[in-house]
Amino acid sequence: MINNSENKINPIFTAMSGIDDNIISESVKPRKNRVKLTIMISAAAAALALVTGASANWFMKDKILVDEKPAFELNLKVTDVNEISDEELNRWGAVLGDNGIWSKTALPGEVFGKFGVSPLMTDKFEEQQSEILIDIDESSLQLKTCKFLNTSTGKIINYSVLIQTDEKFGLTSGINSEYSPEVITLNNGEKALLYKFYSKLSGGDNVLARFTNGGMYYELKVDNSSFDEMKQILADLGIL
Amino acid sequence: MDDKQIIALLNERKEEGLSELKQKYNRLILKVLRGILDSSQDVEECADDVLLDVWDRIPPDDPNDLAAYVCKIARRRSIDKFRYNTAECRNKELITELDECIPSGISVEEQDYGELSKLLSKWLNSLDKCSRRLFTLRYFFGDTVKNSAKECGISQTAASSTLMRLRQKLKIFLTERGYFND
Repeated sequence: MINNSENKINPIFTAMSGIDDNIISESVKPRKNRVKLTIMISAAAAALALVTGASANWFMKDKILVDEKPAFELNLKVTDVNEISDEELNRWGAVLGDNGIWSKTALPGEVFGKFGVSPLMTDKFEEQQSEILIDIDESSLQLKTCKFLNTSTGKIINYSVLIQTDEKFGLTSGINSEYSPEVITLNNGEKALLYKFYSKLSGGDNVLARFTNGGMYYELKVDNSSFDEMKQILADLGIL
Repeated sequence: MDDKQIIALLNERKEEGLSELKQKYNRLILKVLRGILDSSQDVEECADDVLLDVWDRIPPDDPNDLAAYVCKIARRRSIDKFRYNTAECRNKELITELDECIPSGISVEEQDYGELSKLLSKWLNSLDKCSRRLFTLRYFFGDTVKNSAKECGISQTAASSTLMRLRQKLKIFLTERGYFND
C-alpha cells in the first residue's frame, strides 16, 4: 500500500509515469516552426523591458539559500543577446536534434560569439567539442553545458552560463548542509557557493560552483574534485 | 548516434553506450527531473541514477522508444526522491490542481497504479493532439502552464482553462470507471 497522504503525492500524478510511450514521445518532439535560437530569451523580456523602461543596467536579484537561509544575492543583469535565425543555423552546420541544437564542429567560444556574449574565459582553458550546445526549450531552467579543459588541474569543467533577460528563473532553490556548502568571496566582492555531492556515476565527489559575474549566472561542475581544485579553477578564470 | 545503436552498445555492455545515452538524452532527463524536483542537488543526483538505471535494465529490457523509456525512468526516480527523501516538489500547484480531480490523500494499492496508468493512456489517447500534449507537458513533465502553453502554441489563459476542463473530464472518466468515488 502506498500511503499518499504522507507525502501528498497525487495518485494521478504518480500513475502518469506509466502512460503509453507514444504519448510521451509526441510531447517531447519540438514544434520546429517556433524554435527560437536564443540563450534564455523570451519575447516577454522585451515586452517587460518596454513596459518598465528597463535598461541594460537593470539588475534583477535572486538569492542563494543555504539551509533555507539567504546566503547571498545573485546579480542577473538584462543583457543584449543576438538571436540566430534558422538560416544562419543551417549555414553554420548545426544539427537540430530531439533534445537540443548541437554541432560536432562548433566550439563553445564560437557559439557564445554567435550570440554576441563573452562569458568568463582565459588561456588556461581549452575548448572541448561535440556537446549539445543550445537547448530547444529556452523557457525553463535548463542550462546549456559545454566543456572546457582546465590546464592547471587537468580536469574537464562542465560550464554553464545563464544570460537572463526575462523574469526570474527560480534560482532561489536552496541547498542544505548535507552538501557541505561553502560560501566564498570573489575578487569583485560578489559571492560564490561551492558544494559537493557523491556521484555513483563518477565514483567520487562532484563539486559545483554557482555565482554571478558581470550580470551572467554561472554553474561550473567538476567530477571527482575538491573545493581546493574548484578554487584553483576560479582563480584560473581570474575571479578569485 | 541513433537509438538502436545506443541500445546495441548497452546490450554489449560497452560504456560508450552510456556516454552516448548521456550525450543524447541528458537534457531530456534533466527536463523531467527539473519539472518535478526543486533542488538542483536532487536533480544532479537523480540524473546520475537514471543513467545507471538504464545501464542496469538494458539488457534485459529492449525498449522500442528509448526517449519515452528514459523519461519514464527519470520520472519514477524523481517521484521516489520526492516520496522517500523529503525532496521539495518544484510545482506544488501542479499537485494541487490534480487534487481538484482526485485527492492526494487517497491510498492506492501498488498493483492498481498499472491499471490507473492504462486508463490514463486510454483517456489521453481519446483527446485531440493539442489537449493531450498540453496535459502531458503539464502533468508528466511538470512544465509550468506558461511553458506548456508556449509549447502548444496557445495563450496561457487558454491553456489554464483547457487544463481545468480536462481535469473535470478526467474526474468524470475515472469516477465512471469506479475510481475514487466522492
